[in-house]
Amino acid sequence: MKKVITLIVTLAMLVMAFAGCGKTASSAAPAPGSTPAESAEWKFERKIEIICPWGNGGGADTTARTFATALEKELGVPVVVNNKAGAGGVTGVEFATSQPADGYTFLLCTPSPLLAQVTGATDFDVYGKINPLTQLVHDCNILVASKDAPYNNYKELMEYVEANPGSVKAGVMSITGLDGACIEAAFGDKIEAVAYTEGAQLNADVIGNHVGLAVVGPAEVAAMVQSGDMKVIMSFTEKRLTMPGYENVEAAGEIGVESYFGPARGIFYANGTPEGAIKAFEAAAEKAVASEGFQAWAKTEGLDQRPGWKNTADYKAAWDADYQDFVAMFGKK
Amino acid sequence: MFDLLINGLQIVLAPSTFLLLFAGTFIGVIFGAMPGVSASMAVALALPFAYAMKPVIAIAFLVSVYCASITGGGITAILFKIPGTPSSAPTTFDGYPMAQRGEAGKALGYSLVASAIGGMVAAFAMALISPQLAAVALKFGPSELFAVSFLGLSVLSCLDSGNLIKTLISGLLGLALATVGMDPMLGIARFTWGNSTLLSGIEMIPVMIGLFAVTEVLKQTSKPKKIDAKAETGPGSSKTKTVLPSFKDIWETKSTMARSSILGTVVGILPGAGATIASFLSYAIEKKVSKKAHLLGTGIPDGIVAAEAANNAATGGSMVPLLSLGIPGGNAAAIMMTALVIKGVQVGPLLVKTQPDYLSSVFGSMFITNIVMVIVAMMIAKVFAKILAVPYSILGPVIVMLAAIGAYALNNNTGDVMLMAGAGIIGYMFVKLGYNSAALVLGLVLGQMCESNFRRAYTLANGDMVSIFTKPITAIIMISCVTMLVYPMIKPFIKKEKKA
Repeated sequence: MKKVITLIVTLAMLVMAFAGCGKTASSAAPAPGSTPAESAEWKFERKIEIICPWGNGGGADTTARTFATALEKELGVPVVVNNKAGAGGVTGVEFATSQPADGYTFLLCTPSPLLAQVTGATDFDVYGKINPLTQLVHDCNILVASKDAPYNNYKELMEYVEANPGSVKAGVMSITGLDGACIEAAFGDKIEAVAYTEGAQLNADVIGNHVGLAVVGPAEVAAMVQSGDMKVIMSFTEKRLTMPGYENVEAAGEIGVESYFGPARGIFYANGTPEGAIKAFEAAAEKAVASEGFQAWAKTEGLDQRPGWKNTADYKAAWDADYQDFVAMFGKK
Repeated sequence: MFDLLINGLQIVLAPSTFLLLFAGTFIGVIFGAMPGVSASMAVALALPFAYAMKPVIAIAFLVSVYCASITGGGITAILFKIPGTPSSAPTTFDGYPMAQRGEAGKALGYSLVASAIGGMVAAFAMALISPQLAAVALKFGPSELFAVSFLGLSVLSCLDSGNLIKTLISGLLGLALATVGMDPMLGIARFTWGNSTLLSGIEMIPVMIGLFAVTEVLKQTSKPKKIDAKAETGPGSSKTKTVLPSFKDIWETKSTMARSSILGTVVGILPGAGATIASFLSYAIEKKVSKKAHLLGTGIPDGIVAAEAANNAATGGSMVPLLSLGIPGGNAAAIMMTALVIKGVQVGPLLVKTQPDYLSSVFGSMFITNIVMVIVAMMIAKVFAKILAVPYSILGPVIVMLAAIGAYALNNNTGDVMLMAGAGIIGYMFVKLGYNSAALVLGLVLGQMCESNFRRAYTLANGDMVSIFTKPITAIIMISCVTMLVYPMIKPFIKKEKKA
C-alpha cells in the first residue's frame, strides 16, 4: 500500500514539475502590459540580474562584474551576474529574453550576436528582441601569435602567408562573432578563422603553437604578453594603443587594413521592460560608470583607449548603425 | 622550494586567515553537497566575501571553497545517489550500492580520505613542478584533446560487459544528445525544433540529477520489499557514522589512489577539461586496468577512490596553468582570476616570480583545506545521514523536490526542470529495459569536447586526417583507445580459438 502511495506522490510531483513549468512560461507573456509603476518614480526593490552571454573570466564577464559592483552601490539592491555562455552569445541573449521582462533582468551584450543574426547563423531575432540601454566600454581587438611564430608584424605575416598559403589559421572566440569579422575584413580568404568556445584553450593553443594567430582582447592576454610567451602582431584600431608595451605595435589604421571591430559592451533590455525601470537604470548606470572604481578598472584593462559611456539615445543610434553596416558587409545575398 | 611550503603555511595559519579558510571549507562542502550548485558556482557564490579581503587572502579563501565543494559533492552522491557536483557522478556508481548495503559510513570515509589524498598530491605537484606541468599542458592541442575525450568514450565497451550492445546504444544516444543546441563551430541551431531551452544544448546537470536521483526514487517506490528492509537494517536505522578507513584499508587501494591522483592532476591542467572529465576518465581507466575491475560498480571502495581522488586532484591541476601561464584551467579558476583582476592583480608567471606569496598562499590553502575538509565534511555528512532515517515514503518525494530545485537553481530556468523530469523517466525506462544510464551520461559529458576539438583539429590541418592522427601524443592515445575498444569484443573469440 505504502508503495502505491509513494509512487503516486512521486509521479504527482513530477507532473507538478511539468505543470509548474508550463504555467510560468505562459503567464510571463501578459505581464508587461500590466506594469504598475509605469508613471511613478521607479524604485528597484529586489535583486537585479545581469545576464552575461559569455563565460567566466573573459572580457565581457569582467566588465559585467565590475559594473555590477559599482551599480550595486548606486541602487542599494544586489546586482548579480549570471553567465549563460554558448553559441557566440546568442544562447545568453535568447535566455535573457525568455525571462520575465519585469525590470529586474538585464543583459550585457556586444554586436557579436547581432552579427550572428545578420550572417544567418541563427534564426533568433537579436535585433528585434533586445534594445540598447547604455554602453559601458568599447574594447579593442588585437592579433597575437606565439613567441616562436616566424612573423612579427603585419608585413612579415602577409609575406609568410603568401609563401605558405593555408598554413596560418586564426583562432577566434566565435566564428560568427566580431573576432571572425576582424579576420574576414583584414585578410579575406588568405587566413581562415577557427572557432573556439573557451578562451583558456585558445590562449593555450597559441602559446603551444597549435594555432598560428588569435584574435583577443588586450586584457585577456596581458599576463602572457608581459611574460613574453605571446607577441602582438597588430591592433585592430584606428590609432596605435597608448598602453605601455604597445608602443611598437602597428594599428590597422596606419597600415591600411580596414578592420576596426572591437567589442562595444553595453547593457540591453528585453522588449516589454517597464519604461520606469529603464530610466532609473540609465541614471544609476551613468553614475556607476563614472565611479572611481569602474574607471580605475577600465584603465588597468586598457579600456580607456576608446570612449566607453553612451546613454540610451546615443547607444541606440550606434547599434542601428552597426546593424546597417553588418547587413551591407555580411548580409545574406 | 622548502621556503615556499613554509611561507604558505605561515600565511594560512595566521589565526584570522585560518578562520576564513575554515569558513570557506564549511560553505564549500555545503554548496558542493547541494545538487545543481557546481564547484564553479560555489566559488562564484563565495566571490562577494572575497572582495572584502586582501588579494593574497582572497585567493586562499576561494581555493578552499573550490576544493571543499568538489568533496562535498560526494556526500549526496553516496547517500542519495544525487551527485552534488557533476564531478561526483562516478562516485554514485560504487558509493550508492555501498550505502544501500548499510555501509554508507564506510563509503563516506573512503570518499573523504581519497579526496584529501588526491587534493594533496595535486597541491604538491602544483607547488613543486608547476612550470613543467604547464609545459606538458601546452603540448595538448585540439587533436590531442580529441584523443583524450575519445579515450574516455572508449570505456563504453566495458562499462557493462554483459550487455555490450545496449551499453553502446546508450553511449551513442548520449553522444547524439550532445549535438543538440548551437553548433560549436558555426553557431547553427541543431535539433532544437525552435525550443529555447534546447538552443543552449542539453545541460548535463539536470540530466544527471534526473537519471540518478529521480530514477532511483521511481525504482525504490516500485520495489516494496526494499523499503521495509531499509527501515529494519538499512542505513536509515543504523545510525550512519562516517568511519574513516584504517591505514591498512587505504594501503589496499594504493594503486588506484596513485593512478587516479596523477590522472586527475594531469587532466586538471588541460584547458577545456576539468574535474568532471577527470573523474569519469579515472573511473573508466580503473574499469580497464584495476585488478578488481569486474567488481567496480557493485559497491567497492576502489570505485569511490577512483572518482574522488581524481576530481580533487583536478582542483590542484586547474591552478597550474593559471599560476604559470595566466590561463585559467577551468571555470572555477577563471572566477578566481576575475576576482584578482578586479582587485588590480594580474595573475600570471610574472606575478608568481615577483610575488611568490600568491603561489604560497594557494598551496598553503590547499594543504590546510584538504585536512580541515575531512573533519568538516564528517560533521556535515552526519547531518545529511540523519535524513536517511526518514521513511522512504516521505524521503522519496522530498528527493524529487530537491532534484527539481537543484535543476532550477542551475540557470533559474524551468526548461531545465522539464529536462530533469524527462531524464528521470528515461532513466527508469533504461533500468527496466537493461540500458545503461552511466554510458549515456558519459556520451553527453564528452560529446562536445570530442566534436569541437576534432573539427578544430580538422580545420587546422586543412582536412589532412593523416597529419592529425600521426602527432605523437594523439597517436599513442588513439592506439590505446582502439585496443581498449576492440579487445573486449574479440576476447571471447581468442579464447575459443585457443580451446579449439
